[in-house]
Amino acid sequence: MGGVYVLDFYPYDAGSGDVDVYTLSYTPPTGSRNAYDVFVNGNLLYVADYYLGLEIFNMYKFQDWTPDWWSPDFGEGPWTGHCQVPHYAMGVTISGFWAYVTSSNYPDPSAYGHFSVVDVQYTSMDMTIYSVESNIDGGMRSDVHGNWVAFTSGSGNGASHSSLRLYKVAEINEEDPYEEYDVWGWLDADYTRQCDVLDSLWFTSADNHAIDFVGLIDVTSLANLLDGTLTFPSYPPPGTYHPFVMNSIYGLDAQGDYIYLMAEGQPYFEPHTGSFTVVSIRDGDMFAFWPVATYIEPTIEGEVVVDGNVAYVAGYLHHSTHFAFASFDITNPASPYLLDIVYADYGFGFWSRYGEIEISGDTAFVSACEKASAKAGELREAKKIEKRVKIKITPPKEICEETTEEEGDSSYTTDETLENYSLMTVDISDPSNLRVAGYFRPTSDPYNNISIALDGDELYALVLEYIGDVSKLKLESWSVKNPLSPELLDAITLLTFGHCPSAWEYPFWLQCHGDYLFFAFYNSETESIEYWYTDITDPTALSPTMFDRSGFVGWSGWGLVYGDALIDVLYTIHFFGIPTGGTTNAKRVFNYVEGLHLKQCPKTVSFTREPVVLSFHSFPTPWNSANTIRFTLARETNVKFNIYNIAGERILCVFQGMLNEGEHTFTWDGTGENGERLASGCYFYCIEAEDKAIFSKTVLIR
Amino acid sequence: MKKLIFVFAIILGITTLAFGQYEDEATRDSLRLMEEMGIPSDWEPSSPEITLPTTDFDEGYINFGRGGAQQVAIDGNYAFVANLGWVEVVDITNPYVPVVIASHPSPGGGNSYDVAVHGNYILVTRTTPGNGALDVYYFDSAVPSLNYIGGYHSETLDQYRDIAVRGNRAFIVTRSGLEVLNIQNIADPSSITLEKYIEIGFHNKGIAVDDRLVYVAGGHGGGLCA
Repeated sequence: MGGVYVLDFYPYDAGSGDVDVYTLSYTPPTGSRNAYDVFVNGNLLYVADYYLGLEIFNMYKFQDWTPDWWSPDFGEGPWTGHCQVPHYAMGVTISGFWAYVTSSNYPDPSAYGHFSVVDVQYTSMDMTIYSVESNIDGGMRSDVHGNWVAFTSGSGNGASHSSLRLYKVAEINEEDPYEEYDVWGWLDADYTRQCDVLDSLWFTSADNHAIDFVGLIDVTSLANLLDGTLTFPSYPPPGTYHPFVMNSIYGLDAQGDYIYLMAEGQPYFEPHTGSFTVVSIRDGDMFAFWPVATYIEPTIEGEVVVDGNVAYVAGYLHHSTHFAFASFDITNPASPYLLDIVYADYGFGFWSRYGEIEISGDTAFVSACEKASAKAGELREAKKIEKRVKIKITPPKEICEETTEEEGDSSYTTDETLENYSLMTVDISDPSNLRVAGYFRPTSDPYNNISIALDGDELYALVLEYIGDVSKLKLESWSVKNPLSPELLDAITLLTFGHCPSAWEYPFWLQCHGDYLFFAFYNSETESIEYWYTDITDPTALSPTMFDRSGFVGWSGWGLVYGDALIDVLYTIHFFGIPTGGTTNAKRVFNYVEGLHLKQCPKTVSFTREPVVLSFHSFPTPWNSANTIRFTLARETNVKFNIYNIAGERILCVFQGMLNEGEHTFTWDGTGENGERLASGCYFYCIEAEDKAIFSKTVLIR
Repeated sequence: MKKLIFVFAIILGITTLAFGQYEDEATRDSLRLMEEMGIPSDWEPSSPEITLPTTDFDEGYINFGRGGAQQVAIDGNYAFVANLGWVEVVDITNPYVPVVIASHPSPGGGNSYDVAVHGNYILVTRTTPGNGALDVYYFDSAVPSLNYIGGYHSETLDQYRDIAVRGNRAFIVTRSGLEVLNIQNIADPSSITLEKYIEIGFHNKGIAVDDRLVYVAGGHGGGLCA
């Protein structure tokens, strides 16, 4: 026997008292195996085998193992990777797409140990070492410390070879791919659905004459927008982007070296194959842009959100009337697999068929319009779906008759008054076991359309309701600190009009950025798209303000605040400037319209508020008996004022507490915390306020 | 303290850029501080993302001159090393210059084999002839100090190898099985109890855990399965 033992504690934790034990007894082509160390990352198991080297196994569906041991031959079944490393492998650690393998050659004093780096992004049975380093001590086990790997040696070489080595295994690429461009304009596309920005590349899915493609645009090319020479050409396109042709791309997200799509198929290659698709953009080579993995079913017409090793999808289940929320394990992007899927027992409205997802910790918030007129027949159909989670959803004022449920032709049984909700929460603490935790935002509107954005513990919703022959567009803020019982904080009615919403009337998108929330919608009264923002520093007191109104140019499905720019994706893509000074003055907004600055990732930028410390200086310098420190605060705030010596040690806390707006003066006599007389030297004054620290230097001479 | 000094130096270097009048002097000061501490001027804080592996490794190195370094666990800027008869705590704030800041001999002798970090507690497996032990240390980074506060001796009289911690359980690979210890009240090592013992294999070594599964490197095995 031997190999790797896999012990399943699930039944034990469930109270059975039993631990299921499986044995992975892989069979090497020659010689014997000796599993020395193991590392698990998602569905991949990495084994440092003393004799063989680095072995990689895909543990997907391990539960299906029967009998209780599994004995794949070399390269068969789950055995997906092999890399021979020098001598005897003793330890393995994985970080990102790199494996660090330590090995020992104890009898050879010239090279006791080896440290091998293996690229494990793509696995095969003849993988090669990316780099290797030898040392005179040996190699045992390792652990990762940022861009360093530490490993021990002491495998019997004696105390003189008992050491800890650290190798800097990576250089952080600090090249700023962005340059600033003062441009604005638009990029023509037939129908652009969803975008994302990753480093210097900008992705968009677009419909071009009934087929979709992913446009991959180098941000540096945006300079061409100035003269309008950059456009989405008809297929096949030259140059500026790669035509990864899909049939109906519904969602898109980007992370690391990959973009993740939910699409209906790949007609360019083989019609109607593929749904959840992973595309590699490694090395930024947009012309090598190619799918690395496709997961055929299910096809969900909705948004994709990537969160670490898991991708979540929400939307309509293809060719059905049912709404689904699913999770995919993307630990190994080249081998994704469906972790779990849950379904609503009812249909959602057509206009919100592409569900939106916002993730906060262990909870996913999913928006979609509920179709209140769901019929019992539809509900019966949903019951047939495997792994369905039963959800109590019933149309208002309608009583479903009790019927008998049979497998395969089941029916829906309820006599409760049905209720409508337009947001649902999903417990994603275990992505392989999704649980619909509940619903909130009740509504009686069957045409309810909603778009959401999450900012910390607040969820913002842009809602279009049609109740009692009156349509209302509302902006709502919800506290989701307790995701199971969200609390409505504020609701502002933006528009009221007396007709049923048309297909074009739609809350397009919301985007939180710093202290502000930006959003866009179509106003049928003015036949224009309106762009608004509101300060959200106090989510209980929203104050929405319109800052631009554009003539109707089409459907907008996605918006992004990017640096100082707002990018709206319609039939065409527009760029607007947005305020950077924290003002709510609409006129000020237009002062910034001229600029599109692509410089930082949107997740890291924030608005620059007026500095809290307006001036800060001390005098005289150098000094002997006393020094005066004076600073001016822009507003009342909590302040820490400390003095440090040249070694970075705090030697005195001068003040800590609230200070009013205006000028403040302190005097320092050159003594420390205990009144001791300090020596000559450089000292630093440090004022900390509103998460910022400001230093000023002074010189004391005795 | 070195960490604090370094962070201060970096902050100094960055924040003073906003104050032009002090920019040059402050930058020079921070660079001088780094030089005095043996930190290369191009040293950068570590990043969680490794984007471009290199083939030319920069290196940090420390020779303990005793024991035989077996396993390492990193927590923050500290590396904890099971060094056969010793446990070593190494400050790796500056990876170029790792420094031993605390150490402790294995209580009662024997060979410390693997180490796991559980909050401020350091769990070290130790093998003695015919027995296995789990040693519990308390690490106080403020001092810094490493104090032995107690331990657990195997009821199965099996030799201990690798250890992994998940929640309130310590999973310890033994020469011929897996012990699951309840470490709910780790501050009182005398409260540690054996929750489950599973006999598997022989000459077992490494261990890895995820949310549900425990993987054990089962050591030697012939080329063919039973």
